Amino acid sequence: MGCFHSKVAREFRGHEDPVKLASETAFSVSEVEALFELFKSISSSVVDDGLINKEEFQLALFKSRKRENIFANRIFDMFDVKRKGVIDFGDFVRSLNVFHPNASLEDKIDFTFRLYDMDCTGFIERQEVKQMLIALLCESEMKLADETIEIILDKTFEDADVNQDGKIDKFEWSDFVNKNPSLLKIMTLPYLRDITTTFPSFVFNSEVDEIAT
Amino acid sequence: MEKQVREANSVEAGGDSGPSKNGENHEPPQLANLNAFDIIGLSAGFDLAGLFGDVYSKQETRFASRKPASVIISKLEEVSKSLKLKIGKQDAGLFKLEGSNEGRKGALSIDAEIFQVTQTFHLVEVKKCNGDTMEYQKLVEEDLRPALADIVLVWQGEKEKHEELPRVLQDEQEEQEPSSSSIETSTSNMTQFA
Repeated sequence: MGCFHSKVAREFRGHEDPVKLASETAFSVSEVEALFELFKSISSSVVDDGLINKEEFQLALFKSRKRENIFANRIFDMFDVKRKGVIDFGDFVRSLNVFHPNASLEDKIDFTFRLYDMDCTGFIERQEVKQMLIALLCESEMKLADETIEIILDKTFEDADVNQDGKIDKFEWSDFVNKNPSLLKIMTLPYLRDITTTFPSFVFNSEVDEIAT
Repeated sequence: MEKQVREANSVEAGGDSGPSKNGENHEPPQLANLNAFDIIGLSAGFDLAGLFGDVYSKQETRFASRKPASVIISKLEEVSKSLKLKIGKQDAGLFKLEGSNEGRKGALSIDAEIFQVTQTFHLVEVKKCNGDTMEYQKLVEEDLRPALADIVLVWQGEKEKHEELPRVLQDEQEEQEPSSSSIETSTSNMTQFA
């Protein structure tokens, strides 16, 4: 008993307790441990400080430290729950939780709303959507005429902006997503279910499972 | 990408809809339209698979095309035939390509779905349905991509062909400067297409 507890303490010193994280998310304790293996490798890739900074995030996502992308920046900011400029293990697990196949639709809808509300006004404004659309086209090196972009925006806002005030509020967004569920595709990572196989933690899986389950 | 709401809007002029299982009509396909958020969601910045390493290899990819839907469909039929794949229409704009050989994980089956951005700008999603992932990737890289070349404007994750810099120069540029956020590029930088 004493041996086991000190192992846990040592492994996760300085990070949030995996049992607590498991109790607050859709992940089991062994899945949280597996996420810790992943977290360790990402957070030590540039600066070995047990935290994921922007460069490390970019490196993990794009295999390039320097590649900037406004959408990846947005995701990083949302994972950086405490607004410290770095993602700690607790932030990491709680944020990935929203991407779990079992996470609630409501949580996923809320996340996407905040994601696209880039200037955090509480609304997704037409101008914001235009900027994001242009950014995507640039990223993919695709070109569309100004006119075409306006037509796409018109059609989108016609569908989504029910009260026609030029911006999409939380309720309009929720209705819009329910009509177009494919918009949440980016919010589910099916392989989060297989995480223990992909990132086996050799420390004390079975013991923790027996106690926690 | 599955669209629950298929809009019966702008019908493509000319061309037929390709092989139809029920054989009842040859009207141009009623394709699903992409809204601004469908397009934005394609960004690599939202694809968190990279965080998990190379373990979760790509089972889907997309390309953009300036051809009308009927041309894209004809091309898909032509390519399927030459690759000895059976092609069948599942739904408006959705086609299934099936191999006959039982590979390591069953017969290879691929979905090709055409989405409309405008009548002359389409996005085609190519996705593995069944079969071995490596076999699928090999087929896409070595067979599909070269065969579809003349209808493809750009594949997801790549730059448009006519803009390609010599490869070495491109890599050097990437090393030297962290490219600033692409949001600053205004539309005036873009060539205007009708």
